Amino acid sequence: VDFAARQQGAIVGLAEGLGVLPDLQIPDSGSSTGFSSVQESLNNNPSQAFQESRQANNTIGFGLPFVLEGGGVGKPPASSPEAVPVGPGIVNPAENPAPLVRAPETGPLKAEDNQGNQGPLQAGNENPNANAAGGVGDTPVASNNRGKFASRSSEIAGNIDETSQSFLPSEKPTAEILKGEGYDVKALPVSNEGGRNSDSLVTDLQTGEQTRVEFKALEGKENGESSDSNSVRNSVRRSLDRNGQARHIIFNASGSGLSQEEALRSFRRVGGIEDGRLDSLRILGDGFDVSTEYPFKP
Amino acid sequence: MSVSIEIFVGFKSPDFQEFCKEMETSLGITFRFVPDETSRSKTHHYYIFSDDYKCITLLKAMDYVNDRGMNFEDYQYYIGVQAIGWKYPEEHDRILNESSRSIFENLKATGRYPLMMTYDVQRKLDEFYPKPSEIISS
Repeated sequence: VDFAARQQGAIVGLAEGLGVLPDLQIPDSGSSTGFSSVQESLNNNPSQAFQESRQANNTIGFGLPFVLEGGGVGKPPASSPEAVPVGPGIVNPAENPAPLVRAPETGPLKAEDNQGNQGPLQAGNENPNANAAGGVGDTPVASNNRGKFASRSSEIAGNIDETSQSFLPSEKPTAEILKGEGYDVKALPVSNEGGRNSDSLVTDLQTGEQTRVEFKALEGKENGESSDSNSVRNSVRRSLDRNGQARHIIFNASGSGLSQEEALRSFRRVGGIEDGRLDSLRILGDGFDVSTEYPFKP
Repeated sequence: MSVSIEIFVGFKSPDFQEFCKEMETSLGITFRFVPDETSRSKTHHYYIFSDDYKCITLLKAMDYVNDRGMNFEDYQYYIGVQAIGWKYPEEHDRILNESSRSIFENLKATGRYPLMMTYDVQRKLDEFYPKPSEIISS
């Protein structure tokens, strides 16, 4: 049973909770054509209006001034977990113990430079000349199950706490996986004080240790183009840009088309840009689950 | 949470502070400088503005690689937008959508910078190219 099956199994039957994320492509209802300045938008209390709209119509009844092309932010990719309703009900992973597929260990490694020549492999984070396009090399590294949040089995399942804030639909499957591995997972509100966001506070039920973790999701295939190591690298780069609390990132790459080879390649490439701001990276893909730690070591 | 919308700006001056002042003028808000205290290189400082609903950051657009029609190398800086103060995902999406679109349209209205709006640096949402004679350069 692959990861996608396990992931879907873990959230089946949860439709009574949050329900399906609505499509936010709402036609212009004649409201303003936008704020004349950002400051002006402060006077347009979106949260209050949202709540009022929910109470009145049980829908998002805004006349949004703009509609984003390509689905905007309110329309997840076709292959995203949006199609699978999520909610507070949870399937006990012990009842659905589908094991994740471990990445096979591969043979000796060689790095490839920009000219395609192969030479001794070097850790990207240790090379001051790491190139902007992807660290010091683009050859996939040996599979990994390293780092603080590497895949593990657990006799007990944790809990998911969304009392302060809900997880986004794209993040919930990751929370479910961690729960099944013996962690309590609490969704944290986004801070407005600067600093990178940590989506969750994860408590290891085996040790009691608490760690802030950021959840990321790779979008699905668009126009036949799958996510690759560029996508992972850019997404991590974005997360690292704000000095942050969360030094661990977990990607939900299910449905993105990301291959295991590209996931492993991205580990090295991230090593060229993390600049001391990342401790571990884990990627949950279709049929694979790999992780590594930083500073990166092949 | 970890989802954001980015508005990449073609502003050729290497002076980050100058870019910040330009954005303050264009958007009518004031940003606060945040030094980089966590990285080894100590080069990842940024500017931030936040209120009860959104957090807006000004950042340097270095090190992004072109991906799926998004030519990041054409832009020197970007504006990161995140929704805050929300409880439910629907609310998050709406705030993020409105805030980022407002910024994009305000900058577009100036006609002074090439712009590219992306969803979590994974998907291009919109872009704008001013007339060549109006592009800001230094």
